[in-house]
Amino acid sequence: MSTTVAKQDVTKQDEGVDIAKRRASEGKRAEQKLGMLLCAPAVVVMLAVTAYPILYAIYLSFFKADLRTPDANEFVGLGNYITVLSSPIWWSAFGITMFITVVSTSLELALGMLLAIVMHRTIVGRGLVRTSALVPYAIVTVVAAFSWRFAWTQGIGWLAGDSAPLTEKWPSLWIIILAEVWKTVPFMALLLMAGLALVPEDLLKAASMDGATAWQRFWKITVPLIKPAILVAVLFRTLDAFRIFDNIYVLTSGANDTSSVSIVAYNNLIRGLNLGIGSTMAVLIFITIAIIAFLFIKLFGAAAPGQGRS
Amino acid sequence: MKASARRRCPKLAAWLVVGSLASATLAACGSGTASGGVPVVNLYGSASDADFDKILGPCNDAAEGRYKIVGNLIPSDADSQREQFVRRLAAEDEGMDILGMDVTWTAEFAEAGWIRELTGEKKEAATADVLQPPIDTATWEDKLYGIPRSTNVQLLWYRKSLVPEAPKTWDDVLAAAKKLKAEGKPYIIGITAAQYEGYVVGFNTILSSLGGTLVNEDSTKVTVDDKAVEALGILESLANDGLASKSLSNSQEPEVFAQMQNSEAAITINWPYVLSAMREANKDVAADLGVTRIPEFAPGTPSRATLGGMNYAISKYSTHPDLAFEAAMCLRNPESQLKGALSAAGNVPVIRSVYEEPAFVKAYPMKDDILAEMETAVPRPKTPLYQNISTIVSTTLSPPDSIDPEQTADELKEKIQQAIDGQGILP
Repeated sequence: MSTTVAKQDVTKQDEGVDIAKRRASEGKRAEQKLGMLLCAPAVVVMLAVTAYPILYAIYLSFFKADLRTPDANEFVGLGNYITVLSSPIWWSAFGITMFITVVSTSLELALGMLLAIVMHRTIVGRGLVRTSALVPYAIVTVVAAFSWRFAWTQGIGWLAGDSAPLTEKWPSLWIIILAEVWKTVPFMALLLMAGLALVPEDLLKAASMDGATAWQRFWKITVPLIKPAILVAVLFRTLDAFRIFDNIYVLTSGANDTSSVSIVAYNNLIRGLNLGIGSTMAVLIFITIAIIAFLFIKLFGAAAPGQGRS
Repeated sequence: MKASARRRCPKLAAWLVVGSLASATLAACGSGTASGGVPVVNLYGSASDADFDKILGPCNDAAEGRYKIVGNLIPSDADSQREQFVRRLAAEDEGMDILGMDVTWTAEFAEAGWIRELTGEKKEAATADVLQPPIDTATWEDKLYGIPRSTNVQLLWYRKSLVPEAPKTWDDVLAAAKKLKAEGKPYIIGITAAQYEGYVVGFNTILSSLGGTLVNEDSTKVTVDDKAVEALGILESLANDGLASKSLSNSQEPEVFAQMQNSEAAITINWPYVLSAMREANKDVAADLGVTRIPEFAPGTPSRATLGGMNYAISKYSTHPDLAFEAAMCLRNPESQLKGALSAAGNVPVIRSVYEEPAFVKAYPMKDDILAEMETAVPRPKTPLYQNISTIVSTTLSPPDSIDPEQTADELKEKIQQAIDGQGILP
């Protein structure tokens, strides 16, 4: 009993604080409410332009739906998924896309790192070096792709001469990769350079005092320290590269087995007007990208930004 | 917070205003009325033909201010053109009135309900004095959906100095080329065999001439049989016997034309535009140019050419379809047809009376060959799914030197049936 009284006393004493707290939290709640209200339009727009199409695509992927026969839609369950996943065309495109993704991302990482170091270390004309390195990234992909296409066209291209590399599978693929790498190395370098800026100079100097070579300093100090930046850069690029479309569309438009999954999806959806199959492919691409992102976080999760142990 | 909220509100309002303005502008785009209140008839397709302004101008004058035809540019290749059409039609775009439609799209567009059926007086006007094969290309399930505008059949072009006698059969063609090769003279046989629609045209011609078909009459069943195997054999041996150009698998019409122009080819199969174009490109070759019907692939049976050409259709979403019909009829009346035929575009007329015009007879010495081929010409498969079938044929048969007649025919059969059944995916 006495304890209760004591408690009540304490409560009475704290009442002022409590009221103040409540007021503060009321204010906070009001603020939160206002925040919500202010966000609402953006959320509605986001839902309308992203969530709705995604859900609609998933819905359509369960139907036999063709724009040319709009009244003949019928539910086919997983039929479209079976059709796509049992088609050699899909798997060939999947293989090509994976190949382009892995090769171009690796090349971009290596060259991007090189460029980042150059940009980071340059003393003379730093602004000029950085700006000129970024030029390819500033050019619209389709425009750049057309330049590459003309350069590699038999007869008129300065790179092609008398050969016609864009009429064969492997030369075409390497040209596609070249165009991709040329275009996105600056992006990679930019992300990596942000990481390089975080490496303390003292550490590098100390290591060099201890007799570590430049090579050792790079692998033992720089790389572990910028691992989060590398992960982000590689993840971004992998996701982008897997959706490759414009370069292939302009350079070969998928001829000679150079189609990526996005090209095949486009051909079925836009050219073939097959909403069912096209949506199925779009959903499959979405799932693949989700898996890639998940694997990256799982495998290299320790170094992911925000969880960095290093 | 409140201050910032107040600061943000005008911004938000501003964005809302911008948004509604943008949508108002977008809405205005579709309505198709010129500033002076004269309805605009938007033409898509054929507007980039050579000298098209000489057809468009008089038609706009003839309209006497009731409408104004505006020619809009679209991509130059048929596949991209179709892509733009179907995308905009599926979105019910009001900005398109007259569609310059490739002959193979009629079934697809009609079945989807994107183009208007022509009946009664309009049907009569659109078909009066018009050759029957072009009318058939504008017809789907016994209903007329297009105004025939131009037609096309390929011909056999050869160098008279190299091939003194016009080849009558495909064996004659091969024999002539072999002889020329042995003599060290230009010997190449040029056909369009790149992976595209023109390759399908060539294959369809060979197949039809042998008496085969790809699909049955109402396009419900694949009919690939031993005739197709034979046709594939002809392509395969042409590709592998050293009588075709090295860039056969990359040859579209311009490449085949160039082979002739550069005196590389002795014999080519190409459209009638070759004559007028060659007169501009290489006068010597043009003077030496011989022309005849496509050779007999089955000796004794006349060949059957594949019909090309273009029809004008009126979009279902056009807001002034009657004016659009009138405008389209002017764009293809006998005077316009003659101008189109004589220009570098070389559009082959569909109206009979134009074939009697002295100027036409002079410019088209091969008009009798064209008319003769037209009589036995075959359309490409008529089906809403034509695009899918065409894509399958051109990819399955590419490159020509990798054809294995029996196996390729089986593959073709399986894939086309899948496409008809709405299964399978497009490459």
